[in-house]
Amino acid sequence: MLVIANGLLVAVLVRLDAPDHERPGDWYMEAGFGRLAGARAPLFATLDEATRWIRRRLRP
Amino acid sequence: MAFFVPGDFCDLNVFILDQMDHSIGTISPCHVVEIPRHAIEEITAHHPRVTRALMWCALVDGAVLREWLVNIGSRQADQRIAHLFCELLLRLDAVGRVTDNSYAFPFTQSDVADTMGLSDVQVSRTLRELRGRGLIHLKHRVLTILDEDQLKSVLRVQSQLPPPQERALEWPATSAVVSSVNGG
Repeated sequence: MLVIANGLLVAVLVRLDAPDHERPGDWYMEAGFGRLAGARAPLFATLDEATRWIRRRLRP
Repeated sequence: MAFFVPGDFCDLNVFILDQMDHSIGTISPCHVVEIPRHAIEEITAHHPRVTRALMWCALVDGAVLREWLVNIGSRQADQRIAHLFCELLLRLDAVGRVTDNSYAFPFTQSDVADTMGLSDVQVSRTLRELRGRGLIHLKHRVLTILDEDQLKSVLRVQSQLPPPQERALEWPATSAVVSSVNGG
């Protein structure tokens, strides 16, 4: 899932599907760009959660 | 950050400080010995060969810490974890805690992620990859290095830890040192 903010790619989210992950089915921030680069994100149970987290991080 | 294994000193030189500048915790049940300040002062004042051996331990700690800096600074996830596994193999082997290339591994994936500056997901993926390549076996908190050479080639680990040289140490006045340790 590509996350676009104001026309710019800010993150790539992937859904964990391997059984040995702690929470399979959760969304994981595979990559962050700009202000999200190197950010340690939690796992997100839903895309809504991910969106809220990312919005908070990108707030000026 | 660092892991201590049996036989390690938890930073001997802290006896100089009035207050610890870092904290130490246990991950598994541990037998811990407290060495009183006056015992260290007695050793450094009257037992130069023991003092030198203690300095050697500090040098090893420094070398390990430098590798951890490089780990966090410039190695990829698989290299960081491969390095940790190889490092623990060396250090635990030095204190007789390795059997058939296996050693106790009480760390959770989160512990490894935390110390290696990785996410839990990166750790679980890396472990899956290392297992898939037949390099490690990790079950019931025991890690087995199945192919040490291949694991090392993942990061071209060189055993740069200074080797212990003064094997035949004389321990003069052992009873004096031991009694102050026991009484401390």
